[in-house]
Amino acid sequence: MSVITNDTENSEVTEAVTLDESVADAIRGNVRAFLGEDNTSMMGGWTN
Amino acid sequence: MRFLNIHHARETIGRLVSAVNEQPPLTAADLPTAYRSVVSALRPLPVEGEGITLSFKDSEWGSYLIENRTFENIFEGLENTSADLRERWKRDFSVALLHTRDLVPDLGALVDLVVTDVVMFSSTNKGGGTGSTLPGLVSMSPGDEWRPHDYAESLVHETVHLNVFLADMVYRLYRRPAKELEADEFRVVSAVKFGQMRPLDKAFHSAVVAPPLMLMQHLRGETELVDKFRHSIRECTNGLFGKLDLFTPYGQGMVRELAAFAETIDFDLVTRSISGQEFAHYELPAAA
Repeated sequence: MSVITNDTENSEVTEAVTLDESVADAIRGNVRAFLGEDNTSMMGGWTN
Repeated sequence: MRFLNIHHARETIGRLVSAVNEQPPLTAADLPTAYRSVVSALRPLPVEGEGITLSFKDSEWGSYLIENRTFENIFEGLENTSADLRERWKRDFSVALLHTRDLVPDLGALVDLVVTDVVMFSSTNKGGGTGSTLPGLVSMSPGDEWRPHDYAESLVHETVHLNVFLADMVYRLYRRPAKELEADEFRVVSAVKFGQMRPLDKAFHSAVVAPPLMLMQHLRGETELVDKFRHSIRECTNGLFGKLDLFTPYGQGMVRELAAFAETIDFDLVTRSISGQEFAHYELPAAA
């Protein structure tokens, strides 16, 4: 196992993320629904 | 196309972290660490440290994916790999990351933000895979002839899948669960498996990965993918439009943005989609 270092300067976040509580409720509901439903799906690009 | 946008990815992940942890991130710069903490709670195996952790068939992730038959259909002909081959994969993968950051810096930033683990296998089928419930994780079986740009395109391909899964989790894309979208009545022609009818979510994912890969090849002076997908992505998008009522308002916006590209094959639009502020924000309605 090895670790490939991220480019932290490139991935620096420049703006604070704030969230209204009602929006947070909506997102928590979405996450619960996503995990609660049968949403297991595999994607990818494969060739034989 | 906000599903490619680095600022929107940060917004989406910030919202996910904030909602799941029930508090705003301490500072915006803490977002990558906070994301890794949330991802660890959602997956069977946690994120280990910083950067992208590269592992192989006999790692904890390798064993988990094989034992759970996570990518069963693409793990045919699994073989052990020599230390030399692993070193070559590691070297090529590192070069691929640098290549991505150089070629399209904000695509590199998207990879750095979203991908936490890559598990490499040697199997009959070559390419990459991701799972909707395994955020941050990419499975990869490199081709014998792959060069660093092939690794880079595979990694970006899988990053876009992971980014769209995160958006599905936070905003919801479809009005029905993925399992139900497998029904014949919800199938749409794929953008990459030419002429094949695929479940709605798989057809949608086949189309969203095309624009950045076409851009990457275009910037390298290659035309193969551009020629290959020019018509199929439009055909797929037309099919998605026919099923627009199966998408949420957020999902419908993504289909419309995708269609704007499919109609024009405008690489400036792809570049703006990746980096521009015009695709950064989505106004999420509050809970009813």
